[in-house]
Amino acid sequence: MNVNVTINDKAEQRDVEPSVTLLEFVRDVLGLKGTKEYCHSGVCGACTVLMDGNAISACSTLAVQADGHDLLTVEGLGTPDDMHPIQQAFVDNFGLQCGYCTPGMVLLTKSLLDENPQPTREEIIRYMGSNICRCTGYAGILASVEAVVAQRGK
Amino acid sequence: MRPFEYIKPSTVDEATSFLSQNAEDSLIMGGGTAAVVLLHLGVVRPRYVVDLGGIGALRETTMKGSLHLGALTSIRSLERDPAIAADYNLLSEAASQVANIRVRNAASVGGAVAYGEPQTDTPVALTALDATVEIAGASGARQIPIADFYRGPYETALEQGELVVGINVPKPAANSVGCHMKFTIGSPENKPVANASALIALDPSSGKIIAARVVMGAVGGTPVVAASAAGLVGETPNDDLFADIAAQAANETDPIEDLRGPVWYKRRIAKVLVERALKCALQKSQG
Repeated sequence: MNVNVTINDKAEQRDVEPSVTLLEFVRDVLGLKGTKEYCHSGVCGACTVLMDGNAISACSTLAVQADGHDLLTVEGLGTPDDMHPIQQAFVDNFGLQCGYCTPGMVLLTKSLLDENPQPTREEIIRYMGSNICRCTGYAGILASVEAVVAQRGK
Repeated sequence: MRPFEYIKPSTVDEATSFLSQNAEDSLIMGGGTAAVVLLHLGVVRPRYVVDLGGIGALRETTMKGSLHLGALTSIRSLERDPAIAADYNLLSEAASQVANIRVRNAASVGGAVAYGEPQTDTPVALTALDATVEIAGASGARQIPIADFYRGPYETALEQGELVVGINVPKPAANSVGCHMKFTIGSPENKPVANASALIALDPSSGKIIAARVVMGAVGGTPVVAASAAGLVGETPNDDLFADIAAQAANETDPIEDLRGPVWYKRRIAKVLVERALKCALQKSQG
């Protein structure tokens, strides 16, 4: 089936089987390996991508469901030389340990701040609890998000 | 994932006419949060996946006396719509507790209802609110109260080839306030040990309870409507009354022992959640 998407501001068109998940489409068809696979059941958030600005699990979405939609993966945020402020905040505040959940966490942060530019700590905790980090206990992640909020509040 | 044919109808009629021939070989998909995982695991091996996502009419939400939710209304929009939060606070509160934001963005209310998973939050709140399930099939449309819709775990009143096209929620009685509580072991994504919705209405002059509904989830094959909630009506709310009714309600449950705990434990949790939901509703109604 023909799947047309705009991904990271670039139009892409591919012919895929309907049984291909959006995660497989992003990683294996388009070669964007920043989006991770872990639980494959919509629980952990390692495969978080933004579709039309909303965070979704790429593992529990079919590629054909994304046809005609706008996607953002971690590759669309910034590059190692030109990081997005959210990515920079995760580096500056040690918002990662093994790094596997980080692309999802960074995109979840973007969706949080697009919806609510000045969230309270309570709101940040509730929102970021949607994705699972199995290393750090979240302190660095929360500090990273709060750093972006503080920076924007200036 | 095993291959399948992808069917994307653009009207309800197209969907029901396809399903009238192929229902046995079809998996109906709403947002996909359950369907894609089941397909991936090989739990279901359909010949056809019927994606309702192209049926624009199923996204329509209206509020005229009652709340009509097209089946594809996302759980997240129930959570975020200020008009729903104002008049149907129990529903938006339950929606805000479903799984995680990614699931809530993609999952549909019709899918949550039709799937019949006993642990899901929204059907519990919708049962407390006396919602009606709107069903379409090749032979026509029908409506059924949500309490009659559930027959057992993952078993509903849907006949072969029928689909849920909408949910109708009557406006709760004046001064009704609800709370939804859930308890999970570990992360919020884990399915709950139990959850509970309580809806009470107080008489503004006497302060007595004039209407009450208590429904519990994950502690039976279907949402459990507590008959003992009738004992709240006509009473002046107080902690002892709530504890007593909650204990009776927990005795009405029929949980199974599983990885989330033994039967006695789930009943004890259900009791605590009902008590907390009643106290929360009272606190909110006293502003």
